[in-house]
Amino acid sequence: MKNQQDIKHIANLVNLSFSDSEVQKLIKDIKKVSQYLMDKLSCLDTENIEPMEHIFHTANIFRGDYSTDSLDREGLLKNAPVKENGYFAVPRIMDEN
Amino acid sequence: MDLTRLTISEALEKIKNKEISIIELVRSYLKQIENLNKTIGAYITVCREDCERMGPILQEKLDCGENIPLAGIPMALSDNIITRGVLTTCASKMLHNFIPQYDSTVNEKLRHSGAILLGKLNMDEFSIGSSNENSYFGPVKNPWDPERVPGGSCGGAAAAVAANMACFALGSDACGSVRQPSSFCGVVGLKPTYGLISRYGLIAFASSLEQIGPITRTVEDCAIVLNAIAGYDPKDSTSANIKHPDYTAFLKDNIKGLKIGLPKEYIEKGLQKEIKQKLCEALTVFESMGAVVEEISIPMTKYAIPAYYIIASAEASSNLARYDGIRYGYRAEDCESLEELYKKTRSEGFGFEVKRTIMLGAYFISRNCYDSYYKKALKVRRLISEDFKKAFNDIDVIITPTVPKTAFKTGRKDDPIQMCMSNIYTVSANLAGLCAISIPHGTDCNGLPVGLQLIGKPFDEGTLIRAAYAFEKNT
Repeated sequence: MKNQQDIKHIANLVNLSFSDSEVQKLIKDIKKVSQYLMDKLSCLDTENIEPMEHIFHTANIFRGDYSTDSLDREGLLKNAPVKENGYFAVPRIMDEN
Repeated sequence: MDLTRLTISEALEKIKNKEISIIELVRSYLKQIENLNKTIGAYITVCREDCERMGPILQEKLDCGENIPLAGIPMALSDNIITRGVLTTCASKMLHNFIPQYDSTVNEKLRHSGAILLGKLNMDEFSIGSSNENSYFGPVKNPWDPERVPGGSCGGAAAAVAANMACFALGSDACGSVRQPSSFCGVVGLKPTYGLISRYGLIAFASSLEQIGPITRTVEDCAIVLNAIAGYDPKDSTSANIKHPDYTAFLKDNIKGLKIGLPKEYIEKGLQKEIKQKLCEALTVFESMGAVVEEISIPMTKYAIPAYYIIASAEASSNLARYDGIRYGYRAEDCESLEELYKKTRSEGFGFEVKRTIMLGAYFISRNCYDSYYKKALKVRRLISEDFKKAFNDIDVIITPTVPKTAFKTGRKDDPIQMCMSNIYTVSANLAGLCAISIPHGTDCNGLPVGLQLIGKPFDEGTLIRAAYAFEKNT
């Protein structure tokens, strides 16, 4: 991630936007951090090492297929910044046609 | 008598003998918070009314002979631990108004044990930081010296316990966020083995690394709190389905024959002279109690900070994708499209350090970087884990300093790698899923607390508690 375009591409993927001065700071910070990490790790041979995603298990754990009580709808909607007729409200996502 | 100085066991004894009432104890803490919070900044929310209400209820139950293990003990939780009906902000503008409708398992367990929630504690925003200067609600100050940081990310929790603003606290530890501030503030901090404590209701930052852990004033209190919060929870798929022992049974002043390993890599350059000296003193104390100390080698630990940095950023960027301004929390105004709503909400709701972490994490897992950064870090994690496994074949406990230097002055938060360096001795336990405890061991020439770390095998918190307790009793 070396230039403004790279920053904007990643920012777009993670739904963030930055001012020009923030972009400049990010370019500097990310360059510094990624260089440090590369310097430290690249000399270590990890050719035949299995990656370790997790301490104990890597498979999903599923609960039984039965119905249980879920959280109260009204209670959950209390935290919604905008709601309408018992639903979370979002800006229009389809055009009128 | 200043009731806020009592340990958990002392307070329980005095309540039981009717020397003090629960409400007296709780009010002493509320008064202490009122007096100190403006200076220290440890609390984001204080639950004054709930405390006043719960005190008499618990007292009545106790007077009727009910067995309530932590009846009336005033405690506080880091603000990344979900509390039903109580504001939970994660120290972020993004959650500045979030009142959860459910409880974390740890809070539910503590409530059932009779502990009283004094309030929610300040921290680095979304657990990102090591100095507690990255909070939307302002920084936390170290009670030993307000010009210095309390450590982070759970600086509020360590500062509150150190300044007698809570009898105990819970924080979360992904690379040392419980142990490093505990060391900076001169209190006891435990990172339990991954899977021992339910993470249900812990706001996720680095899911494969973090564990909730107690911060207390004594090792005995640590064992008491651990008893109350440990155990399998079907609501957390990473919770370990094992039966845990009674940790207070390990509070024995006897460590004869305990084999302690001292990793030579941990006492090399960069370690403050007085911390090294304190470590040597500690070794002498352990040996005088009958423990056997031997030098060991954990060569891969020098790669721990880089591996951690990549894994934690990657996990954080994924975990923090859920904040969109729709179901709860901050929502930007005047947005015409959904995409604009997401972007504006996230850009205005997160602080810069959080956004930088999300960007770095997304970069590390992007197509061009996945193998050279993320996958590489996971491989390094395996090597570090194997190093520790090998070391634990011959020894029971590893001893290290908790941090390379005592609490530093405020205003150094801008260099993320430099900031991470204060976790250089703590981070490996998270990568390898081990348990580790920081215990206070005197002060340096500036009068700042020095911490000592003991690292144990997975699910061997008992041995850690036994060693830490014996050390505490003999120093």
